[in-house]
Amino acid sequence: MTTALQKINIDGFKALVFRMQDIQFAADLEQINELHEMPQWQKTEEEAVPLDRLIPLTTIPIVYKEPHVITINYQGTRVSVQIDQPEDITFIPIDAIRSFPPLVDNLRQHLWLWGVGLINDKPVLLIDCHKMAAECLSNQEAAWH
Amino acid sequence: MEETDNYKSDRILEEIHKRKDRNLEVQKDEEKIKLVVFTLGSHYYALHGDSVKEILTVLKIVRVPATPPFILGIINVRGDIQSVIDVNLFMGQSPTQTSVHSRIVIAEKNGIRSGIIVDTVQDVLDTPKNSIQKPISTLNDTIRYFVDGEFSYRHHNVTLLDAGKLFEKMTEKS
Repeated sequence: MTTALQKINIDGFKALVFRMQDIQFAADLEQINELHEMPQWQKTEEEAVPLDRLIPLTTIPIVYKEPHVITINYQGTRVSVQIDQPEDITFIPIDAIRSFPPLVDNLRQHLWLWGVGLINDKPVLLIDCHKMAAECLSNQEAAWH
Repeated sequence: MEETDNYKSDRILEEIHKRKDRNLEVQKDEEKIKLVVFTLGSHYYALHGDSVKEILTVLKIVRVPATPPFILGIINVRGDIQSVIDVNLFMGQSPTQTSVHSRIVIAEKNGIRSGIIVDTVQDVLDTPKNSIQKPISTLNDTIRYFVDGEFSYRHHNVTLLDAGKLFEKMTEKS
């Protein structure tokens, strides 16, 4: 019998690496439905939440250099998030994944920023798109009420 | 002069020698502690040597958004990810500016390990435990909690920090 746990690939995951200002992020490609360039996305007239609105990177809103939109399917709902500067699609092996050090782990505000991947020895912040989508939806719900 | 004569000066000298010997014995038995002395701006601080794991030159610090400002970010230390903190910012002072002399002191206490950015590392010294005085009463309560004491080093007043209590207080501040 194959259980759900056994199906999870524990060797690592293929990730979309992108840059927001001076910070590199990586998101599991399996959690991303589509990646659109901004002009192509704008034709759909759908709204996308800028990532820096979910997680402030500076005190002022950032200017996107190469805006793109990723769509995430979460529990039957499509969530769209605007990211910047997609750089690469790369495999991050489990040996290159670390949890946050204790102080950061205890003090971080968003659980969807879940760890660190080492890509060419450089720390890249890992995003769980499903957890991020859940937060987007819960923010939306809170705004409606 | 009779042999039994006991001059006062002789007795005084004898007492002085006895006291000197006693002092030497006390000094020999005195417990010494290892301290790492560093500067942040114009202030001198120290950490207990047993809590300092290594001292690094400043590496590329990767910011982690949505963490308190005193967490400068993370660094890759030979494959291990360590946080880097700015004690100055935590104490409500101006941020520490990095220079060629700046160092990251990796400290560990009570299972929490983190880098602390400092302006300069001045010395690693063994000092008698009894040279550490109680912290001054004017320190505010937040800082006093993680200050272990004070001592004098090359005409500077050095504040001895307890890394464990500092990390604990930082976690509490959330």
